[in-house]
Amino acid sequence: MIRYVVSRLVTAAVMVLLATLVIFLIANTVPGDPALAAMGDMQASDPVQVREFRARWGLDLPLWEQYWLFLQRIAQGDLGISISSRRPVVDDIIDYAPATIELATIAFVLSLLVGLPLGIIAAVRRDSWVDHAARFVALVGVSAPTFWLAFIMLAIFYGQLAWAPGPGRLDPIAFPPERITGLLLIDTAWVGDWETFRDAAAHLVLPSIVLAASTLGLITRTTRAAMLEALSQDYVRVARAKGLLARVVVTGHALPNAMLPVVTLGGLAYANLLTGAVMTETVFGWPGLGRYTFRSAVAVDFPAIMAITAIVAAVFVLVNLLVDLSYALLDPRVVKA
Amino acid sequence: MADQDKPGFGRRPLIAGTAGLLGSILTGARPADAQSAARRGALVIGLDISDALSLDPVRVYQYSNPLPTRAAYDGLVTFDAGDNINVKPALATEWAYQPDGKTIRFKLRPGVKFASGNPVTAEDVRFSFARHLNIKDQPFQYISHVESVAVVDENTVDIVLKDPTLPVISIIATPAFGIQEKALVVANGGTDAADAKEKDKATEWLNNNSAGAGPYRLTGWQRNQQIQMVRNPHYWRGTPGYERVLIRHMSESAAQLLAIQRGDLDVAFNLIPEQIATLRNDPNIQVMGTPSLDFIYMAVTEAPTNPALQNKLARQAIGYAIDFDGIIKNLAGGAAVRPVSFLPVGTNGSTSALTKEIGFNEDLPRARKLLADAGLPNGFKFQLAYGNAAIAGVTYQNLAQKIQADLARVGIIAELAPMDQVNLRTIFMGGKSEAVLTFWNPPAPENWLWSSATVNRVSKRVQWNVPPEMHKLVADAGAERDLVKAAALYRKYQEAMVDFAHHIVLIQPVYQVAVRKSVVGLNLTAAGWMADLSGAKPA
Amino acid sequence: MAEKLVVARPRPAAVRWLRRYGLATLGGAIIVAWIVMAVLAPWVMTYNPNFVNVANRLQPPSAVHWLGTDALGRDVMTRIVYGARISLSVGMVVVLVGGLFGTLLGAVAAYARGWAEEALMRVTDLVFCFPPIILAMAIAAALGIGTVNTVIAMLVVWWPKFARLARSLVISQRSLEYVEAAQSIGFGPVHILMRQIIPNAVGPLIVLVTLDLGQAILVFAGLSFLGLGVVPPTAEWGAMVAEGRELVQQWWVATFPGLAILTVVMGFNFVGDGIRDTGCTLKAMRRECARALVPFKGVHRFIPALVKNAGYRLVEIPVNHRARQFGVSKYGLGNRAIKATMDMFGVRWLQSRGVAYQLRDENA
Repeated sequence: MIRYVVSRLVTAAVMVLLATLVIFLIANTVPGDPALAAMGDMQASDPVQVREFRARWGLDLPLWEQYWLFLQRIAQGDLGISISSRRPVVDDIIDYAPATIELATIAFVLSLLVGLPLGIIAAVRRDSWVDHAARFVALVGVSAPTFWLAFIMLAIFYGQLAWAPGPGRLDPIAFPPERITGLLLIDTAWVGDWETFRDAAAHLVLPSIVLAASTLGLITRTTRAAMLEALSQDYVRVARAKGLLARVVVTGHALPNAMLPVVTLGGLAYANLLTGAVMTETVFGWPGLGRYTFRSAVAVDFPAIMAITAIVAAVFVLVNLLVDLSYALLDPRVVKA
Repeated sequence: MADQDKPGFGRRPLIAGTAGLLGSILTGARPADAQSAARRGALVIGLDISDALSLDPVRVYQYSNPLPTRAAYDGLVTFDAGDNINVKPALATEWAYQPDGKTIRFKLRPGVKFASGNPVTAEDVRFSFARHLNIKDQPFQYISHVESVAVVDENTVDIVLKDPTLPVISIIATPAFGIQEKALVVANGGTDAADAKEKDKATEWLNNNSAGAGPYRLTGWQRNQQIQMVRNPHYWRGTPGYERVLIRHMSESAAQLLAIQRGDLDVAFNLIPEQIATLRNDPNIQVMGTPSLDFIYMAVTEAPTNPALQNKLARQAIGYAIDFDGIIKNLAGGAAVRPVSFLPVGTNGSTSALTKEIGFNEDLPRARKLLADAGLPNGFKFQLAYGNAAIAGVTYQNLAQKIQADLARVGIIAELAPMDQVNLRTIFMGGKSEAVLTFWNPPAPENWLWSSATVNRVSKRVQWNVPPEMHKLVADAGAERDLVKAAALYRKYQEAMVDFAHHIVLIQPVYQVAVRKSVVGLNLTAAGWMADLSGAKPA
Repeated sequence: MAEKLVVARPRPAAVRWLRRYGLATLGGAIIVAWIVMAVLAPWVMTYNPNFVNVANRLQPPSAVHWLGTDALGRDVMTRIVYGARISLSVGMVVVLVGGLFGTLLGAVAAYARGWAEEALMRVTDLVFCFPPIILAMAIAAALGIGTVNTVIAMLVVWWPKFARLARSLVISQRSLEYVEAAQSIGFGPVHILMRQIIPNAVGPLIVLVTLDLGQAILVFAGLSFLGLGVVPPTAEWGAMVAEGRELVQQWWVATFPGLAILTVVMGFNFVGDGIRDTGCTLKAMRRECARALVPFKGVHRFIPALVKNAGYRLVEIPVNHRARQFGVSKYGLGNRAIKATMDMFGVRWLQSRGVAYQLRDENA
């Protein structure tokens, strides 16, 4: 078991580095010069200053040397200094990550809370109106473009009905709490600042609904399909024939076996939420990693791009690893070689 | 089926529970009541501050950070709102060129205190400028012709220039050259020594605190979230009207619109013309127009790849085929003016009337005639590049498509090439573009900054071989201290620019800023820092 | 004596069919409608999608402009229909090309086993853990903004999931006996793969293709929204939503293109779900039909008809009835005739579904 985990971790590390290498190579084929975009107008017009800037940021070194420097720095935990914000990338990420983590987690929890029961009921009462309603809701959630859904929800629930507060993590007038973790809900609860807690929670409602919409559809569909599969098995018939309560049959017998694909997909969905919330963050003015990723990509900010790629790749392979490991917990039949 | 399964999950209780939770969260956190005292004592400004890299005056040169910098740091001189020609005293009461021509002597205002309570001295002034001169970041480029700054006595400072013909007084009105408190900056790692470029470590501290004499003091900056400032009780013009100033980052103009309508914001800077129209009927909000000195222009290059563009007449034809009035009236909602060329309306020598007289105007027959004279009766093709951005609510994308449609009327085909900033800057700076839509915003309202830019660095970008007469014209106009004579010289300069047709200026926006009527005394300005917060107070 | 024959209420065939396949048909109808509109666009739409008329900008929906005009005065409805051309064609290209390439790669690697399969797994893992936004933007920055370049960027990230799926399907098939049999007969690997394995495994692939068509359209619209994608003034749904994003008052500019995306993707999703629900393998279809014929009390009634249809003579059927007299039917003649005719039709229908009934020979 330990050997398996270790070997998977090693593979994961290799995967992450390969990902950064590929991105590095692609980013270097960009014909533009990121130095020019990062400097002011007058400085950028002076070739001497441009050369100096490029030398300071190591942009003129041969490619393999730049990558080698990057590897060395990563080994020491230093992700480099962002060209466009002039700060260490680690600082930038620490600044922006909690917002995304908070949003993604809440959205994921929401989609689980709604999607799992919906999928189970849809499977149990197959072809009834509940099933159809659940499938419809799931499909609409999966089919709606996130950026459009965000716009619509904002326009209706903030613009017209004034039920929800506006974009941003807090109201303009609110005092942000002392930063402990960066996650507003935890920070405010820690010090007992319930006013700000409610404000932060209210601001989380709309964006997490938007984000949860597509994951909800996925989870409902997967749960329903897995439950259908499980319910058609013989052991369920036996359980029913034994006279067990329907509820017990579903939750105690069919559900644990149906959870496997749901866990897989759920893990991947969470990783997706963490790394791909650009549209939602843009429309809701959420200062998160998605927007940072987008801006770094636009500015061809090498250190930031590679750091983000490394982190995203690491998140994905780690989630994969965790999911695979959880198989052993959930399904004793799975044998790890 | 005969079986009726009852899984036993209350689906209804679950839905009811979730809805109840949502409802309690949402109702419990209404936006703060606009009447509460804390809310009234704070000025909340909505602005897109995502481009701010630093709040250290030595490094301030973006679009959004001059506003908080001006609020925190007062400079030697300033411009009054609405007047971009006459420099007014601020921390310096009078100034004069010395007999040697290279030195300007400034007399400082007595009795001015920093936010910390310490008095402003000549040493602080010298330190601030020396720090600029030695750290050599972007703002330094504008005063690179300053040789040194020297203390004469307690209340007098000399600025010594390398070249006496180059202007400097209007340039140091920029917030970046605000006076910093030497003791505070040095205590936090700052230095003005010759090796300040490597040794100065105060920027990190100055990003979250200020050391100036302005009406407000910086207390915090969360990037892409907000900038917080508190009142400076020692301010020399009198106690500022608000206890706190919050600059909230909102990049979406729709969000700013809704926020100001609900009272979450007092001032919204980034609204677009369509949204402004809806605010005109709102009794709580007034829309203030502030003429700016920024403009959007199309740079047309004598590209080696495009023989048509090398012909001056062909370039002029482009200028005469564009429906400028339609652009301003419809795309910019009428909230814009248009200068002749690279000198914005409102500076010395540039007016809207002049544009009608000697500038580009829509004249299709003339454009066709120019094309015929250029030997291109059927028009020609060129590539128009631009980035993904919007100025005053006009996106480059819409502008480019409108231009494309306009030019097609005379047979000129513009192929649109949207690009990201990096590629755009690279091809533009490298002179490899054919035509680019871009934006110019001045660091300070000094004519010479524009004119010299066009014949120096910008000319390289458009592959313009600037004839020596132009260089002389620009230098003469810059050195001329008499305003009327300078205006005449600048008229000649602008006529030449139209003739060469490398820069076609499209829109000089009149920024529409929405301000709630509960705020009075907010003076908007075009001089580069958007608004003067010193006079703002609750109604 | 009163006998209660409890028969499950036979729902009319139409309702049953609607419940099973209603959504899928709706989805299919939506897609067909969009395709027809997209193809016939130049003849049906009267406005020019690229005609800029800034004086006419941002008009609300009216009789003249059914869905209003956008920020440059162009008719929104025309742009939406022309946008359908781009979206549908891009979606099809990406999914079909990526799907084909991925499936072949995955199937071949899975059949070849060994290091080829390992290498495929590692490569797909690698592509999976890329942030697609960064990849798309990097490629756009390197190659320039445009439809073709965005399609290339999407193809790079699209093929792995097909490869993975094909691999898992082939794995489940490759150790089955018929493959072994075919190998021992002497068929070459290409033949086995192409003619035997893939046809058996094609069901889930078709589902994935259908669902992915919607997904590809969504992703392309998203990339256009971010500023990559099409070059203006080409009409495209994501770009149109981006243009209208700030215009909360002029809601029609952003709402209608988004609705278009929603309906098209929903259509593809409905169809894909419908296909998936049938299971798509012969065995699954049979299982489906057998499940539909859940034994209920009284199915025995059809057995006489079955027996007669198969050409046997009916002797006696053991029936769970109360005692009755031999040779005396509990039904009258007229009833019997009518019921027998109805049963005949019912059984024909059952048999057309391929439901297998086995009759046991009592005397064997």
